[in-house]
Amino acid sequence: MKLTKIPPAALLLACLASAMAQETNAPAAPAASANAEAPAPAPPRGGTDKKDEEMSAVNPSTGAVTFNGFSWNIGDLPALDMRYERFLMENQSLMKDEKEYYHQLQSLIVLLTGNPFGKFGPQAPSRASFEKAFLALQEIENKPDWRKFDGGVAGQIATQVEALSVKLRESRDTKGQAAKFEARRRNLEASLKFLETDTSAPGAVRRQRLLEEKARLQTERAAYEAESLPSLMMAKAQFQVYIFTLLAQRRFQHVVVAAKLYQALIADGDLGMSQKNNPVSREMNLDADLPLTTISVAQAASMAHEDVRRGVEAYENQIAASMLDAADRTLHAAFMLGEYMPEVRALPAQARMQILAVRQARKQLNSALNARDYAQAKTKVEELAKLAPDFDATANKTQIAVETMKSDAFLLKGKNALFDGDQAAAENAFREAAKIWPTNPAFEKKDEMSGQLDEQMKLKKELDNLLARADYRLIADRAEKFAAAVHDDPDRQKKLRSAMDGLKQIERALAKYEELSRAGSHYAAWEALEEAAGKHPKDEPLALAYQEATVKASDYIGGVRAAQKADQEGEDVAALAAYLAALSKNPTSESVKASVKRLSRKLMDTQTPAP
Amino acid sequence: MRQRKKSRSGKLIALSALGIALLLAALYFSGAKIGSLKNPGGEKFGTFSAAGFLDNPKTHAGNHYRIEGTLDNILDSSTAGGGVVRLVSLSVEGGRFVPLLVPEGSSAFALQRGQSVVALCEVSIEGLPVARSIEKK
Repeated sequence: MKLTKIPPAALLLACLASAMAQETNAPAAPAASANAEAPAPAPPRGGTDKKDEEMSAVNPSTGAVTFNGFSWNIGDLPALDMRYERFLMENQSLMKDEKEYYHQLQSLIVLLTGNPFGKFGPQAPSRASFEKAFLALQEIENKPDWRKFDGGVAGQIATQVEALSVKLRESRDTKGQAAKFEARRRNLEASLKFLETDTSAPGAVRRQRLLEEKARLQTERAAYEAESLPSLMMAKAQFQVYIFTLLAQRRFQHVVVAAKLYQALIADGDLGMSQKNNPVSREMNLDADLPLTTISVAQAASMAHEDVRRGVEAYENQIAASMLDAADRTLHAAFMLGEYMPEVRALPAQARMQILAVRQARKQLNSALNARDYAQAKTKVEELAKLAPDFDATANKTQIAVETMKSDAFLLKGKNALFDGDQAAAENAFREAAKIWPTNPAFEKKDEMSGQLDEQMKLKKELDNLLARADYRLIADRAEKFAAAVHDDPDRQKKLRSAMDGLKQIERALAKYEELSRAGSHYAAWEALEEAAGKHPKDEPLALAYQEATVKASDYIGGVRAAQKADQEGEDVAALAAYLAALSKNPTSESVKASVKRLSRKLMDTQTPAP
Repeated sequence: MRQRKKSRSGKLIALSALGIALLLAALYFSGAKIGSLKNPGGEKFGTFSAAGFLDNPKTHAGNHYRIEGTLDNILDSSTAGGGVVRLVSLSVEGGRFVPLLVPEGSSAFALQRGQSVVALCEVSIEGLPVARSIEKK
């Protein structure tokens, strides 16, 4: 048998821990997360590049660890994460029974290896140690309070030991039978050799009988060996598989105990493990050329346990230094490897709860970043910074700042486009802004602004319609809203002012009309409406009043109209005479007075005496 | 009997017409006043009809009229050309008003609103009556 250097399995476990730690350190950025979720490329198997062979990786989606040319499915990482968080939530550490159980297990290791760390040497344990250990395993198995902590593993090891012992005894019996077969064979060979010189007929008959007996002996021996030898090999293989299973379950203390007991039983040094027929090695895709022994497996377990111990020590130092972010990563790695190790199980609950808070905040930050909820992400970064002062938020802060600025820039662009009336450009810009930061709170303002702009556009259109209908009264009813809507539109502002002035003029004219009508000055009353009615013919109250006034002042109106007609036709004298007649009826008429004055001056200026 | 009556009334008409003609001829050739108004040129001043005149004043350019009315208002005045020229309005028959230009020297009294006056006028080419003389009635 050849004992080769061990590193593969041990390093595998060590690297498993570091690989898991890398997984929990994965950056929070969406792109980075997306990359982390991508399946890890399968490493080349049996390659010649040593560097490549030694590189390890964990595929987070499948939980497969690849190392040194082979891969090992350690299980579902999210499930392991859940177990880790459940462990963090447990409100107490080791119970009394659990402490006693781990103490018993530790005693076994010291008994079998001679040291408290389970360091595995080539020296097999003594017969006495073997027997004590076997009894201790049975004691664990027989105590239900202890048994629940390893799920019957100690009893299983004892069973494997017992089964292998039986087969070894049978094997020794088989060896005795083989010696008998061999003695008979040698006797037959000697008799045959003696008869070689005997050429007589009886001699020939006897030789023939001996040859037949030899053939029968060979057949019997072959049949016996075919029946007895494989059962031993099978028992050994089963034990080996079980040791591998314990390794896969990360029950490193049990691996050491089982391997030491196996070593004690297989005292002839046949410690090599059958890889081709080993289902665990097939599960791990172990290279058939990779030498593996029970010693190497036990040493791997021992080193893994040591790695867990160091991880826990580092965790405690980080907790003491309030480095909760780093402590979480360290403990996560230690837990992944040493979930069942007493050092991990014994950690104080209070610190674990703090770690859980940090871990949940980090998860929420990652979720917020993945969902592009940068407002929430910013809150979580601040929360994390308070919970774990060692949390490095530089990358997260940069990402948040860049993405929010990009979104805000598109939003601003959209707003400007909206103000410019470019609806399509505005929609594009808003779409881009939403892609980057779907929950950007500024969107609410944008909707509000969009609503305001819609309302503004509606009011402008309504104002245009009312202006076209010269409906100054409706305009006046909503003057404040219209004024607000046209604050950025000088042209409409001017029209709105003009409409309001027009309404004032109408109201003044109507008031004067009412007053003069009451005084019985119907000509003056009509004249009070004349100008306003000419300018604002669409105002209904004005039109009605004007109609009424026209009836009452019809004779005066006839004179004025005649004067105006003559005036327009250049008949200055006739026009002046008509205006004078009208003025006699309505001496207060300023317009008639003005016309009289104007025409008088004109006649004075232009009169030419007749030749 | 009937023939004798006809010849007697025809004689009367002829005698009356002759008498009137002789009177007018004497007045015309003597340059005497029409009523109390001066008429230096001795033009004939027709009876003024405000309604007809105001229908189309320009068509009356060059005509001479004797206008009676009440001084309604002094519309404008000017001193251009050395004397005072006034534009007044006369309230005439039928509630009508007629503008009248009163040049310097055509009035021998101070014009005041409400005065009843008689004016001898000539209509300018613009259709504006221009007083030759104006006196209180």
